[in-house]
Amino acid sequence: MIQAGGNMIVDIGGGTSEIAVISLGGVVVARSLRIAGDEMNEDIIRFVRDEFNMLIGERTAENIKIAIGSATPLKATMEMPIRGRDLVTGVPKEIIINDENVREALSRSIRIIVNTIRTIVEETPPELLSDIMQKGIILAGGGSLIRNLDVFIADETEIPVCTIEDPLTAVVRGTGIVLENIEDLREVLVEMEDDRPLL
Amino acid sequence: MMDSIKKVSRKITGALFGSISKDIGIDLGTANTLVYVRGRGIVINEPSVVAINKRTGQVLAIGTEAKKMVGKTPGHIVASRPLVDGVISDFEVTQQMLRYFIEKVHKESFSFIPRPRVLVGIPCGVTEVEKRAVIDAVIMAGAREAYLIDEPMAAAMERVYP
Repeated sequence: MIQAGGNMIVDIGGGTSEIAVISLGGVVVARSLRIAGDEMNEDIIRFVRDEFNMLIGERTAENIKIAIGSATPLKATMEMPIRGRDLVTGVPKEIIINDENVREALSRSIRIIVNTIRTIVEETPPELLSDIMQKGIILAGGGSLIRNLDVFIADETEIPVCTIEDPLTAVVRGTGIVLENIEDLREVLVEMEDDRPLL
Repeated sequence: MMDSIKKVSRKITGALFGSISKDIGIDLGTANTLVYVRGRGIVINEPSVVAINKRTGQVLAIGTEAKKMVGKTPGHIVASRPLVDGVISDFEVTQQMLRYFIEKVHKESFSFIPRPRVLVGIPCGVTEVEKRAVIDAVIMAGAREAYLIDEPMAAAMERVYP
């Protein structure tokens, strides 16, 4: 059987961030935000354009995010060289970007995600909230790999946060668990409004 | 009447095929698509990118191969991501991508094994039309039946069902 009790999940994917409180195999409160990995890449492209007058591609932006992206100051400075086109002269150039720059670039998106988590916390029934306080917020999805994001969310919400092991594959592993135990877990499937019977 | 016959026949085929057909779980993400096969684990983890030759309409590459082309294509080739903000934006291309992934898993088994049942994760709060689009794309891509699960629910499964 599915365990009774509330769990809060924050799943930061590529296109959307999902924030949900679930209990007994159903969703209690949930928000889907269109701010996630892709938007963070855009943030970095915008930042590099405004600060360094340089145009970079989406893949470069993603590489920067993965290599040195963070939510709170790191113990040691990290930096990396990036190449792009100078917007003033039009010729290629190389600059060094550091973790502080990237943190500033990402701060807006991360702030929005954290504010939405707080909104969800406010909407959560108190009994479930006490479960969540005990078990902590579960962080999943590729976005959870941003350094110190768990620390930042924990500081801002005053709820402990734990990142799930191998966060990139958490959703598909979950579908696997449902498939392997379909007799038990039929209830977690989403019902359509028509007569389609469940598995 | 027809409905109840349909339901009973589904139940019978479900019981019959359930144990031998390969059930598949798919995380149809904006950035990456992952496929889990019941009894085998995660078998596919590739970017949700499709490269298409616009002149001939031919699909040139799907997944990792197509992602390498992003931003480097000549005018007549488009390397695009068929999903935007977690929902299907280009139905035709999504269906072709799903067909490629489902067939990759399915063709490794004997041909008389029935087509797989597929469980797909979707973002919370998507509309009925967006849900229907996912189901239709999966069915047209070669699934026998399609089912949906909320992505946060799937992500939490390991914790709530130990």
